[in-house]
Amino acid sequence: MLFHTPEFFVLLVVSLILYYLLPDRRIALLTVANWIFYGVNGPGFLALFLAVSTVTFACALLMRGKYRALFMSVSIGVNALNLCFFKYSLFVLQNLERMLDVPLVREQSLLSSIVLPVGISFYTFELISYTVDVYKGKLAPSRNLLQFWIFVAFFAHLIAGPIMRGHEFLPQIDRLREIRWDAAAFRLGAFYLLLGLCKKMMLADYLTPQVDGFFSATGALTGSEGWVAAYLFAFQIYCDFSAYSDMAVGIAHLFGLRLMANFMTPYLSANATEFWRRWHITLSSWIRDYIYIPLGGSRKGKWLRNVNLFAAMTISGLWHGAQWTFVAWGAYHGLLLILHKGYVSLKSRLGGASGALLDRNIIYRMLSVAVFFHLTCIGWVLFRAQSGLREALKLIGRMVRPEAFLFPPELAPYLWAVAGLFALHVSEFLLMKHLDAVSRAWHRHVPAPVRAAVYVLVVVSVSVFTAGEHNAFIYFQF
Amino acid sequence: MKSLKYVVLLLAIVQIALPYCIPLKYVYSGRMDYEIVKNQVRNLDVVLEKIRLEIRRNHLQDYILLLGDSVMYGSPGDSGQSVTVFMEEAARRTLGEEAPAIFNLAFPAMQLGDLYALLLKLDRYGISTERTIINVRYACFVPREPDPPAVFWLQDDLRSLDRDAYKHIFPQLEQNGYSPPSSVYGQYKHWLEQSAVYRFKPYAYKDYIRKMLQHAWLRVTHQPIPSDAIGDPRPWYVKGDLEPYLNSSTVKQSFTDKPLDLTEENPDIYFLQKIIGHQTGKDTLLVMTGTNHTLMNDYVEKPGYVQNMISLDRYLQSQPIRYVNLEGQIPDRLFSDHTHLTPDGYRELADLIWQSYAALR
Repeated sequence: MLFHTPEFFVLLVVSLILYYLLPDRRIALLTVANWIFYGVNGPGFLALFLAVSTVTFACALLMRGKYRALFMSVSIGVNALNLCFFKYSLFVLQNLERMLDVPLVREQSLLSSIVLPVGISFYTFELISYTVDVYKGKLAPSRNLLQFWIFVAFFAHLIAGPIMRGHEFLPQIDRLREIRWDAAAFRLGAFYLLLGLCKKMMLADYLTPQVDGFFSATGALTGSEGWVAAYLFAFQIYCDFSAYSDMAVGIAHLFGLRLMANFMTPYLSANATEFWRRWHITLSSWIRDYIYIPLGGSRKGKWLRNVNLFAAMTISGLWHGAQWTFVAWGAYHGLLLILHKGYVSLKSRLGGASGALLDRNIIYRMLSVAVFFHLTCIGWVLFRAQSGLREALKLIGRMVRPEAFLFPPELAPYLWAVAGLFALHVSEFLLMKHLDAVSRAWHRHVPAPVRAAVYVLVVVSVSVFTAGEHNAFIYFQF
Repeated sequence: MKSLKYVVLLLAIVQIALPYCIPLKYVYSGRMDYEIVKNQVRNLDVVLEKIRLEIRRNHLQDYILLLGDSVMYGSPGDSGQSVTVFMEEAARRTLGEEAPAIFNLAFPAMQLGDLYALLLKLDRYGISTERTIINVRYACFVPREPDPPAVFWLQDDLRSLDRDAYKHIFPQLEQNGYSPPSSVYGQYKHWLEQSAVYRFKPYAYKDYIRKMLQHAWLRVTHQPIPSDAIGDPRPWYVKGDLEPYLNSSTVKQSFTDKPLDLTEENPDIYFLQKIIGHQTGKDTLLVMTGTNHTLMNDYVEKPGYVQNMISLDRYLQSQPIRYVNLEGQIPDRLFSDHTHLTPDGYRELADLIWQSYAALR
């Protein structure tokens, strides 16, 4: 069930009404709503989720005494196996086939017909982090299965995040009954929900056919076209994924709950380190806490730090999907992070004060943002190219030639569109930075009828400019 | 939350006022917009709503409805060269200011099953079907193998408006790949997406609002408004690319020389009878539009085809409905292909239909 469909809107409205009418029944109500939300994707997916999450719940409760490590291993093993079976088994076998030149997967076999359960990558990460946190004693195990299911499967974040941690969300569910109607939270929720709807239906869905058009012929694209395709995809995936996250955060606010922010206008990042603090924040912090730090983080010297960074980012790439293009994308970002760390240490060695001055220089900042945006776009070519890694690398080869930056006139409309999208991105940054002040001024100085007219205009615009078909969110496939 | 009451009020105003704010020409300009209705058949409801408003606004009483397929629609020319325009001219020449308004609701690929469903929809919209002209062709009655479906566009409408007729024809639709939602959730989702959301007028009118804004933008930027022609309206003999089409299975099937089944076992006869039943006692004219005999000589000279035409003509003449056969009455040079006409051909067709209709009134 997609957030921008009528059936979800009905589910949301009905759930909200009952939620505030029946505060004592909220746990049961949200459980049923979550089951409906997930179950319509296929009852098998729901059954699988319930089985895996119940095992995790039980293992966490049993994680005491000398069997702690055993139950942690069982829980992580079950989750990892579940993810690996559905997401990577075919990929591994197909690669083995290629390496060994031995047929391993038949066309009509069970393996080749596996359908990836919706949201499996997201809920698996939540279940693993919950297991580890309970094992480390950072979190008390949940003693109520329904509450635990709401933590993992709250419909706002089940399918594409934000990836929530136990300590962030379980206490909120514990206090579910105490939540009272809060007009300010409701307004904020409605704002995020509409923001997400606008991004998805009025931007991302319009970019989809353009991007598909370009990438359907990756091999035939010139360097300039490659840049345009990458620019457009950069905004398509941002508008699509951040729209989902905005709507998730907004929906949670409507229920008086708080989900973690997943995006902070990432294309205004000046380097890779900053980018990963602003792009898919809950995934990057998960990778940091449960892969990078356990691998040793930066505690064992620069070289091992770099190796750990590279490994963690490559795994992050693989998490997105069982394709070498995703692995390459993750590795590429690992490399960018390593290069940035090297650049920072070089800068501090050359002169700490001048380095700091440089960082505060607005022109240097803008230049860094522009350069890093292009580096990000090169990464997006790896991520998006459907014709395989080789074609993607060839296209990148054409894109980095100097003549690729001499855009022919027929690409001018696309470049204007990209400029417009970037301007919107900057506007979003300013709006979010000053959200409280803007909100106060909006409610204090703008009369209610004018505010209402703007709200109605937004609703009508979303209705009118919706691209028609309900395109799924890109991150649903992960 | 002070603004909430204003939001509700403004939404109510938008809901009521929007249909009045969209000029008719963007929704209906002598015929429906092919691309918009083809891409979302629910847009037909917007056309009917606007026509109903137009009828009320002008207190129209004796308007005429044209129903049919691509020939009555005026394909492949643009809307300025369609049957509607020429028939209105013909009506004005005969009756002057007394000429009735003419609304063309024909649409390419409409089958007799669609026309029946459309008549039921018109009843629901309160648009009178008292004066109706319907076009049929030989191809309307040929056996289906199983393509095309007996109801091409309006299956959902038929399902809700005449359950028995829907049940009767369902096997034929199913053979053509039509599969209505079967699960409760599927039906609920279908209802939400195809019915409930269209009650919200900005959503229902979205394609036409976008068209209006697009035209406004083109005017502001001094660019031409694109033509709404759906093909090349030049005469067939100047086009050099008709051969593959004429030899296609679709054309071969539509000019079959196998004996026609003129009983209600034939879904088209079944729906024709439904249409006749619906139009009993009303001022209705059934028009058999013609064929390009020069181009289709190989097909129309076959004894089986000739015999079929005779049988069909007799059958239609025997029905309790006014009927005129225009086969062979329009010169072949005025065709743009095997069955569609050039703008001059449509002028000729409009004149002939109007003469027949006026004579029968």
